Amino acid sequence: MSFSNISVIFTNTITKEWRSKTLLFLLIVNVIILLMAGGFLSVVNKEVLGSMNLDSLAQKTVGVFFLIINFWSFLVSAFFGVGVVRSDSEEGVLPQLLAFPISRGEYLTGRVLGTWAIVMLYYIISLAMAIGGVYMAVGSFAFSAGLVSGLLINAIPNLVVIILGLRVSLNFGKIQSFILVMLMVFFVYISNTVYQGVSLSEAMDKMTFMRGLGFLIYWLVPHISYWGECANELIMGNAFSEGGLREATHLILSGVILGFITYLGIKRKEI
Amino acid sequence: MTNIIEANDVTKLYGKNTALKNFSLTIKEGECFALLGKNGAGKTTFVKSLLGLIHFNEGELKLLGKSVGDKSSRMSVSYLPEKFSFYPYYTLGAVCEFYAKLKGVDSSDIKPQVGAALERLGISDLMNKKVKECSKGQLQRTGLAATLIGDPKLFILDEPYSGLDPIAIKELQDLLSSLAAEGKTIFINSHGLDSVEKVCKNIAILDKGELVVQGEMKSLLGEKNLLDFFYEKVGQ
Repeated sequence: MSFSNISVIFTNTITKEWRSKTLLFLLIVNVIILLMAGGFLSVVNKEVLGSMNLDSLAQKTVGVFFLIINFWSFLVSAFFGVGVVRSDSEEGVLPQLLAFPISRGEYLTGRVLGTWAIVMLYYIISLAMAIGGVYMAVGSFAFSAGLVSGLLINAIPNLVVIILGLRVSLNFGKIQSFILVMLMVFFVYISNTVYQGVSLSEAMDKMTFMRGLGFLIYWLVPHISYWGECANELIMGNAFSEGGLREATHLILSGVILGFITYLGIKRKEI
Repeated sequence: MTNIIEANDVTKLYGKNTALKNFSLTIKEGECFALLGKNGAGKTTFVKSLLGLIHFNEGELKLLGKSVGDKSSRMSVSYLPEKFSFYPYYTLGAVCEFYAKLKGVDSSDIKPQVGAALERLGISDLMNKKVKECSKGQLQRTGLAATLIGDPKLFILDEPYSGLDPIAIKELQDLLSSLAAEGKTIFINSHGLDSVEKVCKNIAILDKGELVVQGEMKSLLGEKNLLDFFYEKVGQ
């Protein structure tokens, strides 16, 4: 792996993606939603909750905003994950890039990391606006170490969605890929919810095809919902969820599998 | 002289269709070589196989003495596709700088090399023009300028004359002749016979994925012109 090749592709990814009109559109929609929510909270605070502890209210409000931002960041991750290699292919740039002394692994790594950086930047901007909105609404600043930890942890599900999007886009068009990725995220969430804390013997009991599929997804795909919930808990100032070590091990193993499958997809692709 | 391109019994299948069948070819350092063939003869398949963009089914393919599966085989190679394209918001200077970075040019050498390449193609005044504002000819010249960066040993040009006006064709012929005179190896993939006849000394003709003939153009043609010779070989 050449670090300089990865670095050139990483920088190029940011240069090409930050101009995206869709990102701008999503950011504007996000700002509008946050402003509306902030305005509503401000009215509620003045008219109804005047005597309530402001720090607690600020913390809860950030939690609500976080859910909104979290949802939007999945959309943004899926959108950019699907488009990052697909657009190279559609614009005829992919054969030119891969004709350089650059391996497909380096190309893939640079594209994934660049996309991740864009999504996280969007995420940080959104969160900063949410904190600003809360401050304006309730007059209390909600910054905490948990907020930063939550932000860092939420980078994990975003990365998973980006890689899923990239992998699916190697075989499908942009729109189909986007829909497929959102459906996959939905199913991963369901399987995570259903099988969280369920033992193997319990899972094997009354096994059907659909349950088996859900169980397979649960074991093979990183637990997006667990890490999302962890981030949410930390941002809300609560304790870290249980089973951290087990989940971290699962994340590393399933992440390696997902990364390897994506690498094989791009390695075998005829350009 | 060193073999720059070596293909031994390369076969490429697309499902049941054979794009290349036991194709063998050797190109030596300093040659200006044209691979000729009708549309769909397998020329682009061969170029893509050379660059590792597609995977061939059988045979052996080497670039500068290394297997094409090894990315370092492309270290001293420049490739110009038939339709050069880049992200529309990049300036022509930025396109060349990006190419220089991917070719591993030292950061202190990037600006001088980009400037020299654009100057050689006569487009240094377009350095700050954006890709989306350029004509096809200007874009193709940019692609050519980008191929000059990094002092490559081998130029692989896929249909380089396609879509160019007569002046641009003449200028490209002059550029390729001067590169050949500098000892660079040039591999042109084309069905434009007139243009390659003036530049290349060696040719091969490919038909339905199979090599029909390969050799020095003068000795192959004798008294004939390239068009008649080509028609005789693959026109029936």
